[in-house]
This record gives sequence, C-alpha cells and structure tokens, in this order.
Amino acid sequence: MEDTAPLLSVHGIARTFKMGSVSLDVLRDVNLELQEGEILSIVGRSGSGKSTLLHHIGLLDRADAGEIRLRGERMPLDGAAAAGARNRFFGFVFQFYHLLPEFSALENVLMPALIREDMGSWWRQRKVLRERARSLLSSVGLAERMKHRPPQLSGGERQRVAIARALMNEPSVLLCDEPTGNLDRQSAESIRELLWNLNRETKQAMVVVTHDASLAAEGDRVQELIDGRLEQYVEST
Amino acid sequence: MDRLFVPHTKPPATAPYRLVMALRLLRTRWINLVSILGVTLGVAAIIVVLSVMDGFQRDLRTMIRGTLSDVLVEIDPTNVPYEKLKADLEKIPGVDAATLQRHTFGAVPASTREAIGSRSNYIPVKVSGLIPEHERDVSKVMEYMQPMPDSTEDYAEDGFEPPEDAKPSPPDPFVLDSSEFQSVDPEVFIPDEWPRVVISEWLARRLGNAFGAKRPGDVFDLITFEEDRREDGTRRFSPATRKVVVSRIYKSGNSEFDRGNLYVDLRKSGRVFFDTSEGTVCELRIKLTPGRTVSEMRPPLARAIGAYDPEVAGWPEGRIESWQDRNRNFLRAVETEKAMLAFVLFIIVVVACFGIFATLMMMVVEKTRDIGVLRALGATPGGILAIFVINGTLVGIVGAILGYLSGVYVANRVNPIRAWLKATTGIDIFPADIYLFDEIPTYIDHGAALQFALGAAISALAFAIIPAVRAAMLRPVKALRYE
Repeated sequence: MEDTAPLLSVHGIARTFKMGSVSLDVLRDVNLELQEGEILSIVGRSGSGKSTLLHHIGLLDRADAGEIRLRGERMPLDGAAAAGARNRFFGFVFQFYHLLPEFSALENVLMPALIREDMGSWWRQRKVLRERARSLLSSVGLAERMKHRPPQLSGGERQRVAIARALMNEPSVLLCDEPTGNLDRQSAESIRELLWNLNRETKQAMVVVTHDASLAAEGDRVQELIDGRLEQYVEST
Repeated sequence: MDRLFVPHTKPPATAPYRLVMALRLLRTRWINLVSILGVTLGVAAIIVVLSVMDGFQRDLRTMIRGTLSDVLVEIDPTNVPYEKLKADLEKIPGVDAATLQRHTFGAVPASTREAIGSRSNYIPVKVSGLIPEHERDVSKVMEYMQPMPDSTEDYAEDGFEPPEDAKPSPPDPFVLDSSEFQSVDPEVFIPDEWPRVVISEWLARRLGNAFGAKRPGDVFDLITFEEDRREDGTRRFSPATRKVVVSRIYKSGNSEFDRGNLYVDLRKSGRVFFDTSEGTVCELRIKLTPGRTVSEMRPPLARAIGAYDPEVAGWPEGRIESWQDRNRNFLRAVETEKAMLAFVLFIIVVVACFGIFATLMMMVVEKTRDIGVLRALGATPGGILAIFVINGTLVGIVGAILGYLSGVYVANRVNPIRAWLKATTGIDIFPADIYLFDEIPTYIDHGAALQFALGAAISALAFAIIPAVRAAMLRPVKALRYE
C-alpha cells in the first residue's frame, strides 16, 4: 500500500484569515499529490494564496483543516515535531532568498544541519557536513564565493546559496516560492536551469509556486489556485 | 493504520545553532559592546567602592580593636584587690589574661602662651592608667608606643644604620631619665617625681610650638580633678594642675582615639591621678582564648567579678561588654553605609541590564525576518528563545568578568591612581587630614566580588527573558513577511 503512496499528498487544506469582522477564505479544500521526481507548478494571481499554500505544505503554518502526508505518513502540523519534519523533509527557496546576513554562504548552507544535529553529533560529523556544504555550493556554481556574506553576493548568487541551503538536509520535497521573482531575466533563467537540472540529475521533487507562466509551464504538471481551490491550469490564449 | 509522523524527528535540544547564532549576534552587533560596558562599569564600581569600604572597615576595626581588649568591664574601683581578681579571672578556662585600666578626665592647655587668660583653649583628655607589662597581654596599646627619638630602633625604623652613640629605647616607655633629657627650655629642671606620660602624636603636635612638636623630655601642664573631703563628710572636686613629663609618643592610627588619650603608668603615677578621687573609672580588660565569644564567657566572668562588684553579677549583659559592643553604633554605621552603597551600586548594574533588555528588544525587531528564516529551516520556538537568552546572558557574563577584572585591578592600584590624579589634576580624592588614614585602605573580598559579578550575570539573564520570549512567540510566516 505504502509503496504506491505518492511522495506528498495534501488533503482538504483550508485556511481562513480573519480581519476584523471580515473572513477571507484563502484556501478551501485544497488537494494535491506529488510523485517522486515530479515538478509541480502552482500558478495564480498575486494574493491568490500560493505562498500560503506552500507554507502549509512545508508545515510552516497550521491550516484550519486538512492533512499532509509524506510517503503515506501523516505529518504533524505544529509544535517541535513539525519543526523537526520541516527541517528534515522540506527545503524552502524564497523569492527574497532570506539568507542570514551575519553568516557566509558556506555557513548559511550549513544552518539546516546545525539545527538538525545535536552538539555531539555535530562535532563528530562537522568535517563531513562542511564537505557536503562545500560540494553543494560548488554544484550551484559558487565554489569561489563560499566565504562571501550575502551582501557581497548578487541576487542570482544569493538564490543559488538559498537553493544549496534548501538541499543541505536532502529534503524529500523542495518548496520554491517565486524562486525567480526577484531576479533579472538572465539570472532567472540560470536559476530555472539549476532547478531543472537538479530535478533531472537527482530526481528532486519540487513544488514551484510562481506567477511566471513560462517557468510554470516547464513543470511536469501545472495547477492554478483559483478562489482558494487548485484546478488544472488552462493556458489562456 | 493511520500513522502520525514519527516524533523522534524533533530537533535536538542541544542543537548547536542556538550558540552559533547567539555568538554571531554578539560579535556583529556593536551595540552589545555598549551593554557589556554598562555591566562592566557597574560591577567594577561595586568592587572598587566595596573594596575601599571593606579596607576602611577592616583598618578601622583593627585600630579600634588594638586599643581595646576582647572584654571590657567597668567595675566599682573601691575595694578591688587587683592581683587577686586578676588571678581569679585567669583561672577561668577561656581567659588568657586580665588587667585593668583606671581612667580620669582632665584638660591640657592648648599651648603655654595661649592658655593664659583663655578659657576655651583647653584640650579635654582622658588619662588612662595602665600596668605596662599586663597591658601587653590584652591589647596592642604598648605596641603603638614609638621608639625614643634618635634611638637605635628609631634609626632602624626609618631605614638608617644607627650611629655609634645611639642607644636603644628604654623597654619601659614610662621611664625617662631626667638627666639625659632637657626641656626645650634649658632652665626647666625635671624632677623625678613629676609624672611621666605617654601622649599621642596628635597631642604632641597640638601642644608643640615654634620648636616643633612635643618630644620625650618635654614638660606640660595637665589639669585633673582632686577630691577634697570636708569635715562634714561632703566631698568637693577641685582642679589641680600638675607638671607632667612626656616620656614617649604613641600612635594608634585611630585619630579619634589618639586625640583624647594619654597614658600613665598606674604603678608609678597612679597615686597622683587616681587614688585621690573615687570618681575615677576602673576598667577590667580581659583577653579571651581565640575562638571564645563574649556571650559564652559572660556567665563565668559575671560570677568571678560579681564576688567583688555585685552590680556586675546583677546585670552582666550591661556591664560585661565586648570591644564591638563598646563601639557598636560606630561599627554598625560603617556596616550600614557599606550595605547601602552595595545596594545603590547594584541598582546601577540593574540599570545597565536595562541596556541589555533594550538592545535585545531592538535586535528582535531587527532580526524578525531572520527569526522567520530559522523557523523555516526547522528551529523551534525554544531554540529561538535560547538564542536571545544566551546572547543576553553572554553580554552579562562578559561584562561581569571584565567588571570583576577591572574592579580588582583598580582596587589594587587605587593609591597609585590617586597619586596620578593628584599629580595631573591637582585634586586629592582622599585627603589624609580628613580621613583617618594616610592611604586609601583597600581589601578585596573576592567572594563578595564574585557574588556581585554572578548577580550581574543573573540579572542580565533575567532581563533577556522578555525579549527572548517575544522572539520565540513570533509566527514564522508573519516573521518572514516582516519588512
């Protein structure tokens, strides 16, 4: 049974935001499935709830209803267990990179491992983990910029560091929130290539939220968030 | 079977990111230095001030202690067989030695010239009669007596090789061979029967004239009271002026004490000053075996002394005093002053910890988005709380350590610093003529200093908690969207 279970399944996710007396149903009964090695693109208008959905999938926020399963196992939706699951099974790539400015590129990439390990295991494995972080940075083309801090890097380079960081703990699913949204066309293209190459080479499953139709179109499947529900994306002519 | 995700994936409680993040925030935020400096200054100020206060208190106690014995008992001097009472007291287990002093009050004309026709220029003095060889066993009074001028000890004390004609001081400070000494006025003859007195350095200076302070061999007038018994049985006390000879100078260091005390040998001159008046006070001075307390020795002492003076047996708590009891108010005032200063200075440390609070509150706001990022990477609210608590506590610990070190450094060098300040600015922060000491006395109580440093670190931790809780309560999604 479990063998046939999808990598990620989301059932009946609903989320309502209350602003005074006004209730806003951002997500209503959202269901989706993601298979191993698949890239799912989610498009939608600005404010349609794409990022909110991604935060719920990545256990960063708790939905009012619904459940999330990873390889058939139900995920905790809050508390320390959710934080642990987030750390081990999900990797976030944000539109604004969200690197920690006090740390070098290498240290930023190591951060998920610093959260995952306890003091003893970190000390024992520090060389291996550093080596992995270096190799990830090399694989995103930043072998020469490891000691640079985020303010010393370009937008594209920062996003590469963010991708390397998201991959540090070998996540099951990479959750990309507008990964090219803050980049010029050339940098955006190189990030797209990086993500898609990653998918081709390592079968890394991804959910990519974007309002860039051309980026979305390159996913294995494209779904559109309309009125809080996921629907099959139909390209407008 | 519907399985919940395995709970062992919780991030470990000792994940190193907390410490790494806290240290990095500490290192990269210069404002932390301001907080550290605040704690450092506060702790250093406490240590320096309390070291001076402690030094002052200890020296003061030593000085007061030196002129007194462990136990002091005022008894009725009539019909007290001294040698018998002394023997009785020294038989009591816990009593090492006992002696007595008799006191009377008098006055000394401030200077020979001014005294004539002046009613105000008299220095009130307390004439204390003691038995030198017994006094040595119970107090340091005899140690305070200075060697004779130009004696071998005097040269040695000043670090010079004594000349061949220098003689050692006579062992008995109340002995003065009149043939060897002349008053500043060579016409003045010094008869052997004139009482020999040991006066303080202060009084010697005060009584001095153009030729300098009074020295051994100098003569001055001492006014005491004489009892005049009338035929009808009534008594009158009338002043009697006597010539006395300075036989030695003493200096206890306690200027208040030195100001009004002069000593005579009870056996040599007691009859002159004391046996003429029933109003003279007799004070028993008892040295206890180290480790014995006055309260535990009070009952046996009361029994022994009570055989001679029933009033002592009737109220031992009031009559048998320790040297601390005798100076209770003064010692308590110093202790209270020290405690108040410590309290006020610790408030300064607490105020410095408000700096930590403000810095961390500011940092939480500034790092809101990074807090969201850490949460997205898997950090728990407890982990975020730990980052800011560690940060604040580290500021407190670093400040406390630096404060401790700098406080101890300054306290150890307070006198050179005072000299430097005086040389560069002309301001003397510790004028010797105002205070009782020539140098600023310091005593560093490392235990107390460490307690204050620890208190500062704990205060820092306490002040870090509110900002840390605020950081931990941030919702990750909201934090990520913070601009």
